[in-house]
Amino acid sequence: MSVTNDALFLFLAALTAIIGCALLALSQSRNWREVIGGKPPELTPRLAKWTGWIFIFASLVFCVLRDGGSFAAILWPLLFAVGALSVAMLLAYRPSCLKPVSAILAKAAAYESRLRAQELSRPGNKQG
Amino acid sequence: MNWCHTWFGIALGGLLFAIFWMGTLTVVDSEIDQWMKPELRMTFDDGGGSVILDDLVLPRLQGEAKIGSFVIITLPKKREPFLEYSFDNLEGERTSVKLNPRDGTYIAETESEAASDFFYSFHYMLHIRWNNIGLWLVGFSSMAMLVLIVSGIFIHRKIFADFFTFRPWKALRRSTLDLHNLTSVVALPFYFFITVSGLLILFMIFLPWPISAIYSGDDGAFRDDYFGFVSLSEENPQAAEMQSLDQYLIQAANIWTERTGSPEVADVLYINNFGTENATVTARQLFTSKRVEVGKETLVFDAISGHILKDFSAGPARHAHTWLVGLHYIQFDHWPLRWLYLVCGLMGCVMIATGNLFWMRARIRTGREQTVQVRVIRALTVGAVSGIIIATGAFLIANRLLPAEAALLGNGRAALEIWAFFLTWISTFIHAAVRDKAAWRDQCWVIAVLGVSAILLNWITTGDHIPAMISEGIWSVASMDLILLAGALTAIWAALRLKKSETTGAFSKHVQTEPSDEAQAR
Repeated sequence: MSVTNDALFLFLAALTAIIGCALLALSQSRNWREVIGGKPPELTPRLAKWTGWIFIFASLVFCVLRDGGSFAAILWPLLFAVGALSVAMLLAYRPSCLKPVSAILAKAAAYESRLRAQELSRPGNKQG
Repeated sequence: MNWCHTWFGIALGGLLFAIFWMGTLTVVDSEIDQWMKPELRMTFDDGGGSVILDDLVLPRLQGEAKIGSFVIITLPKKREPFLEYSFDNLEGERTSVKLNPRDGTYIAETESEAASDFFYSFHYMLHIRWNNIGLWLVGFSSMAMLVLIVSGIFIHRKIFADFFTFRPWKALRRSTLDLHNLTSVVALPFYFFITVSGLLILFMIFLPWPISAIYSGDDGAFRDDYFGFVSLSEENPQAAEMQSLDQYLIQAANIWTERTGSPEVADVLYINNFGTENATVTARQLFTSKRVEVGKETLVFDAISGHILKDFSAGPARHAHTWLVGLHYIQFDHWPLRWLYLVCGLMGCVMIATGNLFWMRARIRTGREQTVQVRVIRALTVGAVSGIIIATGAFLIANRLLPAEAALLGNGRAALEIWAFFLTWISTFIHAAVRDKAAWRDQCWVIAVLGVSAILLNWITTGDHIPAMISEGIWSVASMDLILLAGALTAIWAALRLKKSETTGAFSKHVQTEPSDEAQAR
């Protein structure tokens, strides 16, 4: 595999691991208060948890694409460990840095409500 | 569980820190070696396929090695850019030689045990070779580490709720516990697998009984089956000269390449019974750059006739073992993983140190600060944590300052470096006992001074500084200097924060104590 692909997949694996950890952190109301302020809207914690896990799984996929299973089985947990540590340190010293991650949540929420609306408008699915 | 976690932690925390610290340094052993032995600072990039052993090694062996000697030839790779071979010389002494793989010139390296000998062997045998006591101590500590990991999971009340929690503004005791929990939980799989795989590497030492029961004490037969070796009789064989080494390298490469469909090479050759009619050549993929598994493929040739005696490829159980062992040895060429191992290793060090610190904080809070128990544990912890870091710094400084012909009381240069390490380490314990609470801050300043001096001494004694090393592509030495610089800056930061905490009682500038939280953590 080429050097560019290696670098790209490594970057994506690290980025998705950190974003995933940040989303998992935001699914906890204490961290939400620190980063965004106030109480998280209803359903947001659950959404954050699910999207967080999806990102962390994506990180595994990028690790496998870069190195194959044998290396990915080590690279993935270590990226997660360092990602989680970075998120915890950001929460402690610079919580506002994690604000952009909530934009992902807003996107996910919008997508979810659109899905729900489509589901409801489909004939034969009226009673939802 | 709580009792078990506390007392295993306090009793073995210092030892575990030393093992973890040395293990973390061993992650970058080749890089430290190149820093400590400037003669090894070179680059080699072609994967070892181009080296011609028949010109470089075989003639020298035929002149210098004792008949019947066991020879190991390690081919150059990116991280270890030199050709190395070891044998019994004509007087029967074990000799190791390093060559420049490009022109075959002999490398007169600095006499030092450096990282790949001293740090590495300290990591798994604590520099105590007598009766394998060091090995058993490390084995026992590893088992204790597993007990600590499992009991830690049980006594940590809110693993998920506190997963990302670190509150530096809270009282020192609380923030120490936060840091202990955080560093423990996020890298838990790493600690678990690194400890288990460490025990698995030494399975023949720790669990010899099943092997001796099945093989009736014949370790050689077990090794032949498990590692794919061939033992031929050594009884009075006739002398015979082998014609080529390269033919075996080429043959092994062809067989493996055909099997896997991608280019494969051997990275190590063993010659048994050198110079006799019973000579065999064993080609192995021991530490291949491109995979985690260690010693998966082995081919044994009759060195005189050239026939294949054994074509060994690890079966499923052995394959799993080679992966776990490889995960611990980290000899593969994967720089992001090497950095991640380094960070996670340091995280492990922080986990162990904060565990001990929390124990002391808990006793200080209940007014037991001046008890002998707390003072002793504090001195031991300071010596075990910042002391071993200072001793490592002293080892590096001694390496740069000692002249090539240095000798004292029958000790050569390499031994004197180790003396510098241990004498410095002992003195940090004494200093910690005398200075009590202020010892942390003092020793942080010493670490900072040592780190900066090491960088300057490297520059003065070799002329190699960070920008020069980066432009020459010798990243090992540049990274070492950068790590030393980062270490020195961290030590300065810690010293300043410690001074502040003596006046405010917390590690951060904003002090906040919540009585309810204190009560909850009790």
